[in-house]
Amino acid sequence: MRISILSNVNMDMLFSLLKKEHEIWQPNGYGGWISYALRPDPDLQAFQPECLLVLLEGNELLRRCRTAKERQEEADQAALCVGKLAEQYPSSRLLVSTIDLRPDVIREKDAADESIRAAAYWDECLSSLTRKYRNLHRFELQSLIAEYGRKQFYSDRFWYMGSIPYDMKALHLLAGEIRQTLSRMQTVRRKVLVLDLDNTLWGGVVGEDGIGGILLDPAHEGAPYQDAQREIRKMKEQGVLLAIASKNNEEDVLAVLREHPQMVLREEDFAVICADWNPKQENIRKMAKELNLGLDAFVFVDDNEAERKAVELSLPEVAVPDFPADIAALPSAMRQIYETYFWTWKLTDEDQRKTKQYQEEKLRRREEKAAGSFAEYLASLDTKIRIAELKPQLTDRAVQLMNKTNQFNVCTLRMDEAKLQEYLSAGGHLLMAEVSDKYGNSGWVVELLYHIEEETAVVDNFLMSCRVMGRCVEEAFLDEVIRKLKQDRISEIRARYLKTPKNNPVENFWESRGFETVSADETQKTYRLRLDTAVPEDGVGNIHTVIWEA
Amino acid sequence: MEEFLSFMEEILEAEKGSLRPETTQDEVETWDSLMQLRLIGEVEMKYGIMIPMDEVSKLTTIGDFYRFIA
Repeated sequence: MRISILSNVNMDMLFSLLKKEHEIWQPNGYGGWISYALRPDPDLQAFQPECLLVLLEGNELLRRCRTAKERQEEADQAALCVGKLAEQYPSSRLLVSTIDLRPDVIREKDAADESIRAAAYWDECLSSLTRKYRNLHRFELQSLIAEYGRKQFYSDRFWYMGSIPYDMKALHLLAGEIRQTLSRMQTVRRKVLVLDLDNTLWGGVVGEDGIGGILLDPAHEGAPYQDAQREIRKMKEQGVLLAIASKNNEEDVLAVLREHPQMVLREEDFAVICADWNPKQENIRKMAKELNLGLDAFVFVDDNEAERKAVELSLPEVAVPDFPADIAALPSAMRQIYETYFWTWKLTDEDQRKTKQYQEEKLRRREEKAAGSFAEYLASLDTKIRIAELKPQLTDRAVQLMNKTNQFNVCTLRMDEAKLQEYLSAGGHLLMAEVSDKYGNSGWVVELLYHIEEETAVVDNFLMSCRVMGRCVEEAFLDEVIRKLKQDRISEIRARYLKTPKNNPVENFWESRGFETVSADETQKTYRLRLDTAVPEDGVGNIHTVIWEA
Repeated sequence: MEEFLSFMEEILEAEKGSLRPETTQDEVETWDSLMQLRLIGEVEMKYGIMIPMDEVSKLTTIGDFYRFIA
């Protein structure tokens, strides 16, 4: 990765520790981070850093401040500079450190330690900065120092010899933390945590020990299981889907999930529950199909090594972390699993609603089976589609959706936020649609990118989350957009299909909507639809209610 | 001594076998003032010793460092 580090102290040592793995731009001299914020540096801009790390040494930052007010002013000033950097490098990820302050020893000891307040104030500054600038993120320097211990982290000798605040070992640790953060930034977040039950979520075997016999309580041996369940519930709140793959009788499992007084996780916390005697790899494969996700979105946790090996061998895409030998380490193993596989900078609303959405999908499928015909089923859903032009609060979601949608994606055009802004300012349009029905809200799941050339609308991409596939949403949406374009005196729509290994489902989509094929080869097809002659047929999609958001 | 030399070579990114106890700071291109601190830090870390601040300016050859661990 192309990286640079700006700091208010000498962090040059980090460059020599990181240069083997990363391409580094080294600032002139050291400590001059503010000058880079105040004046854009042409060299650094030409370098186009993918990641710009701002490491602030808090004690140095506030060294000259004598009052709380002065400390706040200094922090505000630094926040302003950080904001300027975020604006100057919109395509870089800007990682800004929290600060650690050594305690204020020389004071009457009943008085509050102002250093704690000052570090917290900077934390607040950082929170509002990360809300304001989407390319700006926190780098948890303070926790790193706290975890390792201040006494070992700081080095007075290095400080006085070379303006290096930290000890050699601490610098290695810091370099390691940076390395890890950079590598996490390049990995894709997984989505599903598949859990075994016996001796994983509780101690003992429910089929043998009975619901009253399993180990699960707030103290003693059952406590690590309960604490681990708390960590898992937190993961769910962070958008991780939970699933169960357990070799048990389903009624035993449901009894524990519903009735055991010490369970933290309950039936409704799980998107899928597979409690039977089938091989777990088969059940995971089934889950992938049911949730419409790739196997590379799964993490499998089981105390039984044979089960782990079986899954690992037959489903190599599934991540299978080791299980701790000592059960006391189970909660921290769960935290580690989150850090390794589910780490993310920012959650979208979509992430947080996921489990519920998958449960709603289950109800829909049940309804589909019960309905007499497909049209009857569609009508029974009472679907509402809300169309809107892209607005700022939807940008995160828009970028997320266009980069992770593989199947229903006619051109698979990937864009980061900067590229999208470029596209929009060059005259591109982005329409999104939110889909809801009687079972719930599926969120913003449709995107259409197009631009206008005289009287022609050129579709640059059309994509939809697989979550709403099979409900004629795309048809209702497109019909409505075509109607609107026609109203706006557009006479023709042009569109394309670009083949990828995954987008077969839309290979004949444009044909199915009445588009005429202009050219076709193995890799792509181009289409047009004349609007002066063709009027969209009233398809099955007109069962849905479609509205435009003002 | 052998082991110490190869340890120093690794940090200084010097060719294997190129360092001798009498090699001076001027002879090694990568040995600048920042590297001086790095060497102190790495030697301290590896051998669990501490080199006092007032000794630092006297460390001009590889052998000067070795004195602290021998």
